[in-house]
Amino acid sequence: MRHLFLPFAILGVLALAVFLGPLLWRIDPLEMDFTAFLAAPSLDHPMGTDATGRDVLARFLAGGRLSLLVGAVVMIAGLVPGALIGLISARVGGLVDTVLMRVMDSIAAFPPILLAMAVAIGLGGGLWAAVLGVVVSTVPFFARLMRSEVMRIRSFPFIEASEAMGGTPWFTLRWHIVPHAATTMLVQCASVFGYAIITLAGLGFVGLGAEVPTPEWGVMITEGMQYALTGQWWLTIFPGLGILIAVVGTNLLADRLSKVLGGGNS
Amino acid sequence: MKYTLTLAMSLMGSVAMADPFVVNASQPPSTMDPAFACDIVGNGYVAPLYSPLVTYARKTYEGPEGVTVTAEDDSKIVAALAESWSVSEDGLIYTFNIREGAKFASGNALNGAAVAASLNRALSSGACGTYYMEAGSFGNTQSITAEGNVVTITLAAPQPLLIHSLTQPNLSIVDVAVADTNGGNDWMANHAAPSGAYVLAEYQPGVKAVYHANPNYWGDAPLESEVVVNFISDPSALLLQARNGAADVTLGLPKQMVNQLSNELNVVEVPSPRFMIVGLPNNVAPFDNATFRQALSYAVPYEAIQQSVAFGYADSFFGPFPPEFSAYTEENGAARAFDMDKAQALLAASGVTGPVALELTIMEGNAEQEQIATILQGAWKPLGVDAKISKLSASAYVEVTTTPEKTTAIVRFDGPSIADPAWLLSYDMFCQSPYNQSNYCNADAEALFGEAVAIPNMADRQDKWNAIATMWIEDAPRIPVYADVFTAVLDKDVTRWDFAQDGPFDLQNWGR
Repeated sequence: MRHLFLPFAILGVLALAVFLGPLLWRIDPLEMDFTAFLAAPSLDHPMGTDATGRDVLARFLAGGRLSLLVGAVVMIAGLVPGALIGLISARVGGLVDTVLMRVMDSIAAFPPILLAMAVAIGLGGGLWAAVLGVVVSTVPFFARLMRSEVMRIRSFPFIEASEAMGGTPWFTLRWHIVPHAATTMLVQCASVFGYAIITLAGLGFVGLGAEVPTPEWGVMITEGMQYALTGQWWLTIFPGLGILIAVVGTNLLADRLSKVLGGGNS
Repeated sequence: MKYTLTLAMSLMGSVAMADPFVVNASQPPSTMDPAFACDIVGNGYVAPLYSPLVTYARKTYEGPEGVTVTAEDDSKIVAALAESWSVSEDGLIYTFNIREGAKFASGNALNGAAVAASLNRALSSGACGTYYMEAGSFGNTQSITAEGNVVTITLAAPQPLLIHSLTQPNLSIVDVAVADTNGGNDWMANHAAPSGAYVLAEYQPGVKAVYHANPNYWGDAPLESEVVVNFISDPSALLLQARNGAADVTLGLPKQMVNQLSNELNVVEVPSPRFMIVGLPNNVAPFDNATFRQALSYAVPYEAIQQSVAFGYADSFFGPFPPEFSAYTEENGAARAFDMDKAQALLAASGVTGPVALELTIMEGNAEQEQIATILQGAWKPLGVDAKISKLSASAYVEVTTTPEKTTAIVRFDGPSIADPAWLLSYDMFCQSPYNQSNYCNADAEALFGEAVAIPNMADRQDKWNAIATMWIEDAPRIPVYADVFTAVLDKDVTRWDFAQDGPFDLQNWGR
């Protein structure tokens, strides 16, 4: 478990900061201070202010909450249908398997970010349209992984033993296959969590994610981009660091989980 | 040795002088045809290619050290391609005497017939050429004829704005014979049939335009023999190139970048009759309530916006006319204070209750408009206005701003080519005008406008403009956020620069 300390520490500190930070830092992320435009980091504004006088720290914390929240939403919303499709496909097989997998292949054929953009544009943009776009792009990954896991686990002797002892196919699936596949899916979940955060930030960056004035890290980078060359570095660096920490944390978690849980499986 | 060194130095000098004059600009034109160029940016790229019959005199502005900055003096019109002109006493007949021996760049004779053909082409274009040739009074131009080098324009009713209109690139003289030979309007969109100081040596729409001095130009040779205009939409790239000395003139930089560069390069500032507005949808409840609109107008942090968006390159005013208009006075355009108490009181007096949904329309990628919309979103919230920002692509934005029925609040940078109240109000105030960004409709104001334009001497119209302004301020149909101070960033080697409201691309007056 010591392998997991670092990623859990990174994500834990980030989660604590963004969820508990507002209890200590009570500035409204939407409140404008007309006397402090583009103020550099100071004791009053530790991360400075933006072009409309809003406190960047307050927006950073609110943006972090949003990023972690939508990361979790995408992870769950992609996992549930994806895993179900994978299970049904592997368990039923035949024509159902072929049709479901070809549908998943069709979705996976599009680069995920482009697919997410297409869905977001089709739904008129906005945060939740972007979230749905990212969810759609993650479903095939979960589905294919779950299917391959079920196929792999089904060949193990303990599955044969369960069936020989009279276990129904659904009993075997519920009590023997799914629990073993769960570890792999957990790794995938961690990976998708990071992917969701960076993709939503990317969609926000190109104007397809959260709408103004919602504080979201990608949107904050877009808003601050034109100031990057004129010395107001804090507008892009802090939200950029937020994305970096969240994504490094989740990717590290996925990587370490894979090692820890993968070792157990083998 | 001394001779060799001198020769080398003089050669280096001549090579340096042969470098083209480079202009980096953020916005490309949509067409190079003067009859179809309908916006200030488009006009600017057309202006160096074509000679107008008359032009505005120049006044000198205080510029950076070592730079002579001139700008149009719209109170004085002087000869250009027409060496003289006269207007009949009844104001119906304009007679222009074209310079003897003038030629187009093609070598064709630039005589009365050619001028009449060009003006008739503009009149029949059905585009901005028509609007300018009619000076906004549609059907007023009866005929454009020529005899020798004398061109006569006959009007149905007096229109003193016509002479101002003739200063504009839209009515500058095109070599119609060359245009017709090459395919007419379609060809003209990306090519030129010039009569002006420059010819269009190369043009890649949206990428670059290269201007060479016109050897057949009737006037003084331009200061620079070759000018390259690069269209660069990314502000960061514009900024870096300006810093690296890759551009002699940089246009279209966001003001905060201009502000940043003011320590390193020369920045010229010219107060202009252009302005940033928020058009309120006057036909949509509760924005049809003038008291409610007044309340909104007091809930705008004007100074804060000017500082944070325009970085001080702006002036305050509240009225139909920006400060650069000669019709502007302290009485008809004094700045409005940010006063939330007064806004709340007016809101109560308006009878408007409950949350009010409003869509603020801006152009995608326009950081200044987005910033203004964001500030207004926050500032109007205490008044119960739940504003949603709608970012539209450039084409969709143009569609919204020109559609007759406005249903959203439009954040827009505007400004008339001719800084005259009649010109501005004819499109900005009239009920039927599709360019009226707020659907403002006041029959009394329109009646006063009719009385004003019936006065032949434009200087005698001030009382009418004041009366219209009083009504306008009471109605607060739209919110003038600030009047723009135009800025351009010049490399240190640039010594001459000129601003024209229709451009600002009077390139022949720019140089090192």
